[in-house]
Amino acid sequence: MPDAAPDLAVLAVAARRVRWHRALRAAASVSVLALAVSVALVLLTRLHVLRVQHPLALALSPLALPLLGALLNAFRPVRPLDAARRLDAHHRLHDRLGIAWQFRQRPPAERTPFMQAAIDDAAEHARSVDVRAALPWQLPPELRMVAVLAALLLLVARVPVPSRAPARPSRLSPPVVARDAAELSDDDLAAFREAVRQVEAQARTDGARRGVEEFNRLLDDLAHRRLDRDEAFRRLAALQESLAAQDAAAGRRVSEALRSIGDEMNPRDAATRRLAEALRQGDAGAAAQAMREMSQTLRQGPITAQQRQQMSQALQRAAEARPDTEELRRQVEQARREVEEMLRRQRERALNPQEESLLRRRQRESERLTGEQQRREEQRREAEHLQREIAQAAQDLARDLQAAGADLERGAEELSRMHDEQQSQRSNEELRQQLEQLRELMRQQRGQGGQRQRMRLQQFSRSAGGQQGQQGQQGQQAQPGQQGQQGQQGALQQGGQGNGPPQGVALVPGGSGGVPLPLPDSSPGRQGQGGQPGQQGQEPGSGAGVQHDENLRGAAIDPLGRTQAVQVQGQQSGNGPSRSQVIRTAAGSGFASRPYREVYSPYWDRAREVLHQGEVPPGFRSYVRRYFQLIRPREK
Amino acid sequence: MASKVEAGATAPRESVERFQKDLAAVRSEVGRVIVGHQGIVDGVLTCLLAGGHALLEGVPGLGKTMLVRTLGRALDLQFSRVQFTPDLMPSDILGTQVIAEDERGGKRFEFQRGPIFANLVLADEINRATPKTQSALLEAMQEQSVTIARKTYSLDQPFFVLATQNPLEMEGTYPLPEAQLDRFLFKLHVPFPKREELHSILDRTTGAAEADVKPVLDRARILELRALTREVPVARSVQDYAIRLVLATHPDEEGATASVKRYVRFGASPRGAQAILLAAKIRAVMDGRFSASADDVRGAVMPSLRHRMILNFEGEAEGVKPDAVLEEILGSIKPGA
Repeated sequence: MPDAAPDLAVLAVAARRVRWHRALRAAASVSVLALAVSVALVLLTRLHVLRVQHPLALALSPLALPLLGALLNAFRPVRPLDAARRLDAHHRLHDRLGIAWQFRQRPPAERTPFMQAAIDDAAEHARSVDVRAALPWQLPPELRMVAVLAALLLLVARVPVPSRAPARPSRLSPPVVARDAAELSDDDLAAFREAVRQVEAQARTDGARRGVEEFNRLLDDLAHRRLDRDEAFRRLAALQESLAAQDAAAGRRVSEALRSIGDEMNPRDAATRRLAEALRQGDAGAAAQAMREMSQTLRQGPITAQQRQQMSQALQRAAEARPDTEELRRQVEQARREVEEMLRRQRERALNPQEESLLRRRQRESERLTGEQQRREEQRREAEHLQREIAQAAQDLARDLQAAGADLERGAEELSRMHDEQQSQRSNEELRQQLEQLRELMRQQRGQGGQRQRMRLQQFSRSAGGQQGQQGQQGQQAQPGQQGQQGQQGALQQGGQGNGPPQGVALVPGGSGGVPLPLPDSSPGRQGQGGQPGQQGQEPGSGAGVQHDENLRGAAIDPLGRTQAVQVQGQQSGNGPSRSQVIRTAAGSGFASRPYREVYSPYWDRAREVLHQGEVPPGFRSYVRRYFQLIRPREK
Repeated sequence: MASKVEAGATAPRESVERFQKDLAAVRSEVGRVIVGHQGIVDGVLTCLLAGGHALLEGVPGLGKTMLVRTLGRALDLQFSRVQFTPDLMPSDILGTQVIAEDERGGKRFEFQRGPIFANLVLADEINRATPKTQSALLEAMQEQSVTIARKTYSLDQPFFVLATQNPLEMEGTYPLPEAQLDRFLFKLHVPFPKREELHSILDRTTGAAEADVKPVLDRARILELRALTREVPVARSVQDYAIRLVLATHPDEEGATASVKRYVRFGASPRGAQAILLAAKIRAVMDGRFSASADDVRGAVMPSLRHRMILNFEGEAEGVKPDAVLEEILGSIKPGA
């Protein structure tokens, strides 16, 4: 601490001021670094390079550093000599204060008269010292950089950044399709989100969690209409591939491995009954719990010698359980020999049809047996760690209960790991089903053609300047086509091709209840667009539509938009119900009067009851759910 | 432990004030004859009060001799002047044994004192004498005594040699060896007078009037002042600064600058640090302060060290001036670091 004597007390004031100066300077210097790091983090977060749970907190966390730097410097002591030098330099005191402070550090007895005179002289000059003038507050030069970086941080944080740059459509891509964002109703999205939440609760491994996270991101993008259909399907496919890449059979192998162990245990043995039951059911979670309880029993005691022996024997049996592979190995060998023998015969002479059929059956049988052998081997490997712990526990039971308890605890941990694997496989499976449902839903919407897309087609047809296809209306009354739905199609496309879309979608005349026809070079994925069934078309006709303009199958439309105007006409064939017939029929049996939404709910409730009661096999329940999701009433 | 001689007699403040007053009187008297050269006068007085000797370097005709002569008159000291020439012998300076005849007709050797036996000796153009003669003088400067015929004669105090020399590149000169240069406390460069100063010089020296210089300080007072300057304390930080400056003149030391590393062969000796501190003390008292400061040290560096640094071949060949090297050192070594 500086000299606190009244004559040189100014040094204490100056030292304090120097500390604050230093703190301000340090804060400014560290701020530059902290802001630079923050800018980088915000940028990475916004570009989705960095994925964290609380991106804002992470990005702003470096801003605590300046405060820390300021505090450290504010509390770091300052040598009074340094403060004195600043005052001496400013007031041109020829080091009077600094020298006096040094002389004052000596005991008074050691001071010479000249030293004392120097101290007195300094004290005299100290009265006229102005600390504020000598140590004025100055803005650190780093502040300019701090301001620039802060502005940059705000800019980076506020300017919208595209989440992912969508694949640029190629020059030849149909523009209508490129603008066609994949849409899902809020209802569908809510259902998918709920399902994903349930899956997420089961996800125990990183791979499963990543899958859920990716699915959620996909749903977000769909909800915000950031994806066109192609991109949406591409993302779906990528996610499905990612899930499929994970070992789908691992969970099943675990269950089978556990069952094979459980089968070897005595179900009547009281000490290991719960464990045996859980293993037989292939339930790793329950087995882990049972094994932990056994471990506690061993550690806390008391346990009789008989119980000890029984438990040891039961665990020994469990440890020695192995899938029966010997018989299988013999079968594999035999099947392989037979196949080789028949192949050898085939090389010597041509086989008759019965023999060839037998050869194919034998080859399939050999492949099946080999696969089964591999499966059992994998099953054995899955249980290897667990059985090792169980075997160790069985050995330790005879010597040390605590050690045996520890062995079982490790076994329980191994079972917990297997349980996690099972759960994650289940969640993966569930996620795959949800993905499939999503794909089906999008596919369905595409086949029906969105309202927006129809609007665009109509607008395009009008702007194309084609002739009003009066005959298109007649398609409603046309011959009894097989579906009759295409009457509406005709109404849609009454403008003919005119200048036509550049590629991919043919504007089909309404005659004959025609089908939307793809152009020869149109991508298959574009067929059927605009095929929304019309109101009148709901009534089935009595026959297939015929007779469309053959020119429609002519040359491909120029991708650059140089199109050929084609006129099309609907033709009356006399088949199919006329409008009057339709109205008459409706008057007899009545139109549907109850809204579909009201019909759907009780049906779906009933289906759920059945599912809960377990009347539907587990493997098929998802199909039932999927079916009802697909026929869910759409949002208006 | 510091002596309390002066403090016991007079308080430091009064002592310093009297010191300033005496010095001001000397300056005033010298100023009656010498125009300008205030720095040179202060440097010479510093050497006198520090107990050292001064070497003045400058071309002929700048008033070096006049300065010393005037100083001798103002100080009321015994003054002698020796004009160094190539044929000057050591005995011409120190004195010699001569045969003297007493009243009864007997003959004996008697020591005839040379001009060195004075309080203020002006060794004019010292680099014109041979090294042998130079050595005779420099030995007396160091030992403050003269030994002739196995008999040692002490020189009266204060004993102060003020040597002048022409720039080394002039013909007919014998450069002083480094070891002998080290014995001068200061080496002062006498600058050429400015235009206004020349006017004053001409006015004073070409007219009929002759300035009358009165003695203002006697021997006893000079010795008191010498003792007083030794009383001045130096803070550890200031002394450390002086040491760092001296160490920085050594090319192998950590604080050596680029010029030192490139052009200097040997740096200043510890005598250089002593000279700096003594001079700093005197500067402080001259300024009315009681302790030497870093500024005093900086002010004493040039005259104290410029003749103590030995340049290497590259430095000599490049014509590097020691003053430039010292300027760089002062720029890089800061007090309190």
